[in-house]
Amino acid sequence: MKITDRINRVDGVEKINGTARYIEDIKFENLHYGRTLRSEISKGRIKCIKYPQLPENLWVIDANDTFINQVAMITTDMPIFADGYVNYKGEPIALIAGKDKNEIIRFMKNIEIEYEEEEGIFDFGSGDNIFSEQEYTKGDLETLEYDKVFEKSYSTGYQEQLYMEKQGLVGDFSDGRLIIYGSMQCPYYIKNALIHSTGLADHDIRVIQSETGGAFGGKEEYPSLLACQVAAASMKIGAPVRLIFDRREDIVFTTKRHPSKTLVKTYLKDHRIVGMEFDFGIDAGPYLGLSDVVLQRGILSLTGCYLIENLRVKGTTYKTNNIFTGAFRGFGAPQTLFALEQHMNQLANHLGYDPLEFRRPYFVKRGDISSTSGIYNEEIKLDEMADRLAEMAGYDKLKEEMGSYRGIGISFIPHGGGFTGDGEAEHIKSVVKLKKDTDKNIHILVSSVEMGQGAKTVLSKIVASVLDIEIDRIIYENPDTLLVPDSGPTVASRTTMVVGGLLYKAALRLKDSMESDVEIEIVENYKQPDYVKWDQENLRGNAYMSYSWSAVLAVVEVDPLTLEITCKDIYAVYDVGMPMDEKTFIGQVHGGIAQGLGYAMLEVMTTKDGLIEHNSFSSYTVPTIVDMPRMHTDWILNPYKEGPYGAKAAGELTLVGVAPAIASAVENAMDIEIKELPVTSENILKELLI
Amino acid sequence: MIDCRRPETVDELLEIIDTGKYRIFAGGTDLMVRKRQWQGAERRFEEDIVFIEQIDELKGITEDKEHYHIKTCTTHRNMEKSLVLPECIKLPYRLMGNPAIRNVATVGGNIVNAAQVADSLPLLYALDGKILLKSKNRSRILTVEDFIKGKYKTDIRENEFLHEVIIPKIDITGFRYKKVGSRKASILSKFSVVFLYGMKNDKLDYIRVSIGAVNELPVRNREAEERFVENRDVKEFLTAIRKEMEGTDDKRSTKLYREEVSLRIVEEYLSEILRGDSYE
Repeated sequence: MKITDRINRVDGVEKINGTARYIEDIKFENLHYGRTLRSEISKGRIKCIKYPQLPENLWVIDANDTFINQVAMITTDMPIFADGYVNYKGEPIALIAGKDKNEIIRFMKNIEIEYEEEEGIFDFGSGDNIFSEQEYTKGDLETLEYDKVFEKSYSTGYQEQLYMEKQGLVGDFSDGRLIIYGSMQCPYYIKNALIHSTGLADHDIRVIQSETGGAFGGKEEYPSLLACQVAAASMKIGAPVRLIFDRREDIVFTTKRHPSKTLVKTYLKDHRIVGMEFDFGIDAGPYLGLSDVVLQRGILSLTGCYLIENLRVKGTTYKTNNIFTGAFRGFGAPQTLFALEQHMNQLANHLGYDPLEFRRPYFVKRGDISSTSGIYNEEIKLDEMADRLAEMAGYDKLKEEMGSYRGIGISFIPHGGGFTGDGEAEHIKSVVKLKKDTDKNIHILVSSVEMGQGAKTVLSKIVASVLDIEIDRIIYENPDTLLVPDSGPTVASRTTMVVGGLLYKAALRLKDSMESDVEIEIVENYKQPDYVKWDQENLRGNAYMSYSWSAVLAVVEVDPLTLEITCKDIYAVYDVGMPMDEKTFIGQVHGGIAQGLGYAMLEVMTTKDGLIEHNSFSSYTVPTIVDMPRMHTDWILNPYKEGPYGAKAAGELTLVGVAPAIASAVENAMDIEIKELPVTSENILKELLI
Repeated sequence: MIDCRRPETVDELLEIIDTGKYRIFAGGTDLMVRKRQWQGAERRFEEDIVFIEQIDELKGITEDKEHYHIKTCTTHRNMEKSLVLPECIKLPYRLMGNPAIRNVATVGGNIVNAAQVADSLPLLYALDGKILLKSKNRSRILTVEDFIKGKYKTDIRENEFLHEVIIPKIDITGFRYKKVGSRKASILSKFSVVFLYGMKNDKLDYIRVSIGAVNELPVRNREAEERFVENRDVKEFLTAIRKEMEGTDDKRSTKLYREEVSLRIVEEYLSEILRGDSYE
């Protein structure tokens, strides 16, 4: 086959006809169910826990049952079970496990916990309670000559991933060996967390992904916590233990997108931007987890698509007693780039420029120095994208049609593919294997998971295209750490570009041996492209090895009476290098627009005393099909030479630009300033009445 | 263990509930969610349950000269598709929940549940709707307004059930309905406005305005309605309604938004009449 062939998803049929087995469908002998005993307070000491008489067939698993009571993510600050002290409402204290769910519930009703409650911290952004800080500069702001400063603050709220399949894992310990099955993005993250927490040897731990019904980052680090819990439980009981969250539990107690506050200051001289300053803060919740990495992705691309000569950027993660926040499609960029793009629109308005034309002179080009003082290595076609967007949308005519209560807004967004800086080479060190068996079928052996994003289709297609064979000769099972090497986590829009790139090279090496009758295995290791230079200490150099780009235009209407917002149209142009599969890419685009639209104007999520208030499908309102705009999308071709067939990142990019475009369209329609996401009718009213 | 009963007739049902210990289960769209504990475990029903959805006598919409009669187990879907009912009654039902809910949820259930966001309540307040309650030895008819006592509170007695809704027929010249939620479908109301008016001999005869989900109970002020017919003073009417609003901020919306915007809508509807716009 050819990479340009139009195909159907390779996992489509089994997911539609119901033969795909999710963790809840898989049967285990002597299965025990686990249910989490959670803290009822946000902060304080646990004085005592009074358990009722424990029936013979029930187990309580808590901190005492762990070998090391730490969940190893990047940091190890989160305990597997709270040990005498709790830091957020809902923090796991113990797992109650047994074979009869009703008995577990009855037992749990009679557990009494006495606390010595302390005052929790629920606001962030003030000086105290700092978890981590990052800072970098470019040029020189100190001696800058300017005639004006334009300063604004922006904030964003929580967002929930709302994958269709809830969090769920099974731990099965027998004969000294532990197997974890379940819904996950990163089998080796889980394996590494278990090596740390169980005291078992590497070769006695095995992690097997089952079909995963959506993740969006929500199954990046969080399943490591659950895996440590079911491992401890299974090792105590000696039987498989299953932990599957209920929907409300999943919405309220698993990781969310970080709420953020950003201060943006622009220094102007003769109506030109000569320098910018950013102060970005996020609410990490009580444990750092991945938050400092989220912070970095947020701040490293803070100048977006623009060349800014003088720059100071500061980022802070704050410790609070709110829910633990973590990975979510976009990973810090939706927050910072909302602030930047909104600021650019407001600046254009303030200076009396058209928002599109205002941006153009600042568009970065190949050879320019990035915010982190690296050199943009590849061709950048932002001008071409801007032209295409304006042409598709009929920009000039559209602008004339806008009147009161109708508005347009635009955004230009970069998204770096793969891990930040030299992370791919220094931390991840991907390995992939390609095996030709004696029947001449090709096995893809990687730890990348299919979670609905299309990894199996795209990676299979890349290999089949290089080998010029039919796609049904490719075998790509769900990863099992016993069988596949560590090709890294399924995150950071890296699967197609990095893992696909390695498979592409492996397939090229295999191609000449396709006629041979013996089994052949090819191993390919990640090598960092020569141009990537990175100093992690000072956040200096090439923050990403390549960037994908989007240009988005939103058209909105606001109801004059009710101030309800309707997004009528989204026009979007993408540069993802080369899309590997048209249908899969369009799927990412439509999904990204839906999730971005939710983030922009529907998905209000707030806490009360540290507890999420929007805890169900009826109160946490993701878009329905009726809320979706007409979507007009296109892409330009701009092959990246290190990517397979020229591919770059695609998954996260499609979400990030939607919210700033919609927010500025509402500004345009209502002649007010939008500084907060999501944009709601309530906030518009408040703004109008001020 | 709780006891579950499934009578086939109203008489059987009346016998069962006369013991006073049964909870009535119609569509169950609210109860099944509220009683959930853990997927795969029992639901938290502490009282005995009597299912009524299977009783054919309790379904259907009929009319006589003066009233529409809607039996308690009539689903929202039946309301939506009714050939008997006027559009002003059908529309609010068409916008409730989503198709799956509307196929199961019942007219009686929405009233007895008495949620603040129940969209049928402002409609029934505006139409002076009544309900027929039955127990083994007696029946009584109450207005919906008298029946609903507060959020999740009604005047129902242990051995009674809501048999049917009775809606008086009136000459409606025009109506308007607006439901506002945080998205366009499958959503609970931030608030809703029901507006009806009648003309007699080219003169405004009556208006009816009822606003749901702002307060715990729908807001309707008959006195202000009568005053408006006399003096056509929009401002005075709005002031009277505003005085009755006592909402709070909650996770769905704010007090400010609900009150300000619902009144803007009422103002718009009243102004339309005064401008002589007609809409059937």
